Amino acid sequence: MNKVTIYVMLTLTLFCITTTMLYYVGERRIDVYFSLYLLIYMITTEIVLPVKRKYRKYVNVIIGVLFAIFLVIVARRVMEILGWKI
Amino acid sequence: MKRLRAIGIYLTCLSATFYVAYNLTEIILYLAFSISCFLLGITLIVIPYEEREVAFLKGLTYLVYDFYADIEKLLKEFNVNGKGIYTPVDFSESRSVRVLIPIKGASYDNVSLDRDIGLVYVSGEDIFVNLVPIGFTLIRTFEKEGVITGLELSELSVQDILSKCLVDLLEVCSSVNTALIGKRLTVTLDNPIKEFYELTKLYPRATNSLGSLYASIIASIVSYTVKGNVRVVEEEFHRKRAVVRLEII
Repeated sequence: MNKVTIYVMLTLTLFCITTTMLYYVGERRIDVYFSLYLLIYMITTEIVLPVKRKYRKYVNVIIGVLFAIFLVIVARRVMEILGWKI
Repeated sequence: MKRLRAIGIYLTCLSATFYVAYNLTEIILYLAFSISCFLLGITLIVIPYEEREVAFLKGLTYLVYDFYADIEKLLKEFNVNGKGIYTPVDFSESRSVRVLIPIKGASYDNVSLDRDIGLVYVSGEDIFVNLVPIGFTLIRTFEKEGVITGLELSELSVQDILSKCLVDLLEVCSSVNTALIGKRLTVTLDNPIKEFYELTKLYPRATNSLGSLYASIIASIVSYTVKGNVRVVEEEFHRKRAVVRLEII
């Protein structure tokens, strides 16, 4: 089994476990799911995915876009706590 | 590579399906699965992944080009452009093959090496450049593994040994066919690796003397197995096959 196969299997398994556990505990906010997916994705991509240095920019673009979405989620949550209206 | 892209496309489609299911049922679980499948799917589609074997082959091709560049330089230095002759040479414990390229006015009808001597080999009035051919280490390895042994010159036996070496072990082509007419041996390689085709254009002197990578390997193996001198007469490169014509002297 090569590293990419391990990466796909591991990431999918962790996604499934996270989804099942969050749903089981009654979590219904999609931003919580997204945040945990992002965390798992970043960890597995950094540790397991064998990306050559010349292709690193592709990974950085994907992570950048996902992180931007995450920042929007956090900003909205902070504004919600502070009572600001969008 | 294609398999991973296919998995990526499959996961992205699955993500779209989950998203449609979420819109219809408004169950948050579908949206969560949609996001997770999309993340992984898009990663597999976007990131170029080169399999190790492919990358290794590319690197190996560059090294072969460097080998030919060196030989080209050496032959230019000696001002040599003649056809090389692959000749077996005996060592104390084993046998190997060398390629002798005539320097000036050398005839190679009866040339033979008793032992491996320096770069310039003098036989009577004839002078040759003595080089290690590109199939040298392969022969040593094949000899240790018992893949090639000395045999009589026949179409089937040569085809069998070349198939073992070029198809089963090296995987440089999908099949090998040989035709022997008198002392002329024609070897046809189906689906050879095309990356080596450029060698003849880039290093004409070296490929004229040694032959291409395929010719060099085949000539070395044939010379070793039949214990005779071999000369590369002609080579043809087509889209799906390469033809190497040898003469056994």
